[in-house]
Amino acid sequence: MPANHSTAVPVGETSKPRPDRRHPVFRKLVRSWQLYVFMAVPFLYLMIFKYYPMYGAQIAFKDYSVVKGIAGSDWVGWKHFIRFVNSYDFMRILKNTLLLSFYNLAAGFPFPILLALSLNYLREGLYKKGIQMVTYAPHFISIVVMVGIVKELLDPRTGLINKVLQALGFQAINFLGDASMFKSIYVWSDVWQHVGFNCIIFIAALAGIDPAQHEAAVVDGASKLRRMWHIDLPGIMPIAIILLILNTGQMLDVGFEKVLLLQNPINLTASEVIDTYVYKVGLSASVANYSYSTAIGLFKSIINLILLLIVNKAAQKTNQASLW
Amino acid sequence: MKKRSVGALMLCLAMSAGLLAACSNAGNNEKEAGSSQGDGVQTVSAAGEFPITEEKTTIRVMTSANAAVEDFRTNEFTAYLEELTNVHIEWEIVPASSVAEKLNLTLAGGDLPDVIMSMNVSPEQQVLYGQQGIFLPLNDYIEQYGVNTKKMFAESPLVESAITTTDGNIYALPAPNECYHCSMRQKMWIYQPWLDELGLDMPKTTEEFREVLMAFKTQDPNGNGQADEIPFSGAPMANASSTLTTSVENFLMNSFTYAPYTRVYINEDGKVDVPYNKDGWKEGLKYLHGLYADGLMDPQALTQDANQLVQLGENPGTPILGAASGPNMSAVSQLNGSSGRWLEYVAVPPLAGPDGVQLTQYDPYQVAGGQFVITSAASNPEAAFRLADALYDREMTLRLNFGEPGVDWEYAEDGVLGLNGEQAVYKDKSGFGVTQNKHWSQTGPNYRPNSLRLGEAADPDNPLGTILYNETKEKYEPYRVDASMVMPPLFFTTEQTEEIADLQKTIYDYVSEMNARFITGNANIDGEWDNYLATLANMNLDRYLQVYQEAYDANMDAAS
Amino acid sequence: MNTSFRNESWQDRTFTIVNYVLVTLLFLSVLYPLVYVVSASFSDSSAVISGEVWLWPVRPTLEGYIAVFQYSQVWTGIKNSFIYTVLGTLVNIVLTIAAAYPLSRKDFFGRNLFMILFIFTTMFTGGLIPTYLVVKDLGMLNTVWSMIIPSAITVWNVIIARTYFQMTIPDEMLEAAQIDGCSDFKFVWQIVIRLSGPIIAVITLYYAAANWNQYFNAMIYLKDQSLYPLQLVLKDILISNDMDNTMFGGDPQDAARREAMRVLLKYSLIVVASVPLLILYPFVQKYFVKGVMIGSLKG
Repeated sequence: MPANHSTAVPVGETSKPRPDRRHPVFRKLVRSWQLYVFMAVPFLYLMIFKYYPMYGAQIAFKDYSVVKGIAGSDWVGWKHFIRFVNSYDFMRILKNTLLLSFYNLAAGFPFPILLALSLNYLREGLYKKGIQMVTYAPHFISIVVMVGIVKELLDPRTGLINKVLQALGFQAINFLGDASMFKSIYVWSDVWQHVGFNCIIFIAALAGIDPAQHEAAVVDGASKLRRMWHIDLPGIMPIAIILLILNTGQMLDVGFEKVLLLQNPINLTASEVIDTYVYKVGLSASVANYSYSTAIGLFKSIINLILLLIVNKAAQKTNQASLW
Repeated sequence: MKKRSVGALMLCLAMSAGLLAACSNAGNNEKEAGSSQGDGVQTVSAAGEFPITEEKTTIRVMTSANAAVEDFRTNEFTAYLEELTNVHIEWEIVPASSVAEKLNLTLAGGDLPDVIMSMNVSPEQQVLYGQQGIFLPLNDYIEQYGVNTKKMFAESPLVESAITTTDGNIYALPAPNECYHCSMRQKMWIYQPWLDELGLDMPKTTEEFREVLMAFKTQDPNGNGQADEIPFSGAPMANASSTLTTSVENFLMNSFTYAPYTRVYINEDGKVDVPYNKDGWKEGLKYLHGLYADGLMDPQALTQDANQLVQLGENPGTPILGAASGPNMSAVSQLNGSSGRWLEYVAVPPLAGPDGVQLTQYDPYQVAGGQFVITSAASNPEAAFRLADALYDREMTLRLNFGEPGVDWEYAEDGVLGLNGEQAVYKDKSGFGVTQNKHWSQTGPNYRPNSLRLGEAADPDNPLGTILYNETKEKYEPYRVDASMVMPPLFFTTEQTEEIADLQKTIYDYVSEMNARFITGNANIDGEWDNYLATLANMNLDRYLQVYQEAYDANMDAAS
Repeated sequence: MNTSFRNESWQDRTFTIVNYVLVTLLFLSVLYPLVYVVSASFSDSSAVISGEVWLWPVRPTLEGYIAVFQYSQVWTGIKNSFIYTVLGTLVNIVLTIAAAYPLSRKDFFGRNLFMILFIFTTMFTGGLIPTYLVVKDLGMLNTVWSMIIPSAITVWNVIIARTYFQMTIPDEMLEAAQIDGCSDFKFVWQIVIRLSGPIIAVITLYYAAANWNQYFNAMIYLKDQSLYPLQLVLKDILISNDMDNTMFGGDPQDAARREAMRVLLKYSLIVVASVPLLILYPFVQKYFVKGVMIGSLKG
């Protein structure tokens, strides 16, 4: 954190005298009253639209009947969780989901940062602006179209990638016919599509770094590489860590639509994840079994929470930044 | 339960006969009778009579949006209907993408409309909400007012039992749309010009088919000097509810054992059965593996999607696809496409396997249930029912689907031939537009049996309908299985649904996966067959069959 | 801040060259799907179906776009989306900063508690039906507000805004202001906002994109077609043309026409829907020039 400004003012009391010295907590509350005013409306929003509806989560423990309503539905305890955990492929599905998520997180983490750092050193101008705009656009291409493009590129017969491979003397590879390639295809096409959008936050963070630091470094004779390592990287580390923690909290929610579109009978062992499993079970039982899917959602959330706590703890140890 | 209702039926009939007599005498004096139904609720006129109510009644209808219909509110057919029946429809249009959610939300906490139309209320939902009283049972209304509904039941006998739930009630009306060529979906399409080029006859057995594929591969039928021909390809079925029968085993397996794409059927003992544990299936897999091993089957047939298959067939310039399965030639080419290849792919009649098995799948149940539900919030359920019943009338159905008689369609003159080569019933004169406002474009209850659809006047400029009819009739109908072997649409209880859903998902995916592995040779058929059967047993195949059997028995009892 | 190329050391020059090369490679590879989509949108539909299109438009035609704009609803959709995006993003930014700033202050009592409250909601939710009922009970169904209020705050953006404040507003600045008798309100208004150009730009972009693209809320809460945002209209068009073959007895002629329509529309819809967001970007970009904010304030 760029805290090199030296102002010689001593840390001292604010200029507002407080007669009430009884309750230190009360004092603190009153002192930051304006901050509470700021927080008031967002807090209200949170309560009304996020916390109040949480009573609905209890249907994970009930047999929800639309007619009986949430309160009137029968209590069944852990029935839905047991059903899920006992399902034939549970372990494999859980494993696939975790592996895919970890892979996605790990691969997706460095590239937006690298891109932002890279762009930072381009000369200001049309080229730089053009690149930023182009890389940001693919994010908006719909999943269906994107998967279509990926399939076309990887087609063993007509796809660009295989044409290049063959031109270089290699054999054509049937990418989608190989179960072990599924996760890589998924992850790298994700990185490819979203890197431009995801790097925006880092560009903004870099823009917030005091240029005086760079000036000083140049004067000291530091090369660009060193400046990047010593100034830029630490400058965005806090936000990178925070994003990492936040992403961990969403880990098991790996994109279901995209997985579904890339699945085929051959890669199914590697590609079935929790959300696609729930979707398919729900398809043939078209009464929306809210209870079951809520229970599974709860299951995922708890795992997400545990992962988030672990990563946050680790982040706290590094003293850089953490959620709390 | 059924015995009692026969007596009730007699009583009802007698009563309605009496009512009819009374009403036709009473003429316009029906307002007094109306008070017995509650304030302001109109009495409904007798069965078959219009207008339905003396004064305008309003019915709130929730329906799915239809991109082909500009605005139901101002639609010409709506206006015609309202004038005829004196029933005003208050529309609530739901975006097509949110039909399922909207349905559930409405049932959960929104206010119910009078009628839910064209929102695909599933059999499970019908049972669930019907039994809870949210959806009204329609049996009595059908009895009392269902003039056209009864005619429909008489002409298409399978409909009534298909829409009756296990407790004997009908909670939702269907929109039967019999598509003759769709009733036999597992076809194979082969590129005729290549057969001609190489002087080959249409194969009749699996061995001949294999030889033809070999000829395609080695004799360069597209004449470009390169061995770029792909003799046989396909695309796996997207999921258990898909009807796009492009998977490599969909057609060919039926030469070894009966293999409907739904993977479930009724065997000779009248029991629920599945095809994928039979010896015939094993032999079929060996045959397919043979095709794969000899390079006659495109490896991508096991991984690509339907779009890629069409791309294969529509390869720009030189044709490269020899044969593939599908419900019609749109699976391998673009209908009315500029390449014209869709006319050159012709159907292959079911092949005779080494043991003489020669079958094709049959689906006589094209009922499209769940299209019209009357809810407990309806202020005048009789009027709502009569509205639906009216639409089953042939002329109303034609108006609903095509528009104005004389302008958008007309009854066929004598001598004009229909798709089935016999005297046609009607002629379609409407063009295909993006959006129109003259008709409802298939929304709502309407009745299009084979007698109507095949009675569409054949159009020489548009031969598709005739072609499909002929291909199906001549090549497939002789081999189709008996209707008694076909699993009818069933109504499951919630517990049954849950259990079956879990088991089905696991088993279905496993079978698909093993198919792919056996065919590619990744798993050895002889060596691993027992393992495969054992795994299926582990996945509780027996329990699956058992639950299915219970549901089947319950449905059959209710229907008899 | 870049000195001219000639004056750089050899290390820096290598770095710059490698940098440009890598970025350009990435640029070209990321450009590909964009070019493909635009080309497909201007191509004849049968060319797209047969896979002929891979880089440039084949048999160029405006059919795809004409088909889109034929649906009169598309125009109301654009208008509505515009309103929802502008209003919504405004509400989003105000509330997000209002939440993020206190969270960034070390002396905000209860800060960790609030933080946990916020984060918890990103992982646990009550589900569709209770949320729907809340919106219904508040009388917001089928109104513009249902597009703005229920999605008023995205906790993700609050967190990154908070982190940004923590990183760029040094404690000393706050203390100096407090000694001068500056209230929190004034501090935020005069100093924090001015320093926050980049982060406000980022969350504007994120929220604008989310608001512009939202369709699920519209699907659930809106009844009147006249209120539909663009994405909902577009998805509806695609879905209605995507009928499963058996849905209506599978009249293949009908199905084939719809399929051709769908292919045509698939790409032109993306272009139409995305263009406004692309136009937004340059406006926001100027806040990413580094040092612009801090430097101006030092004085």
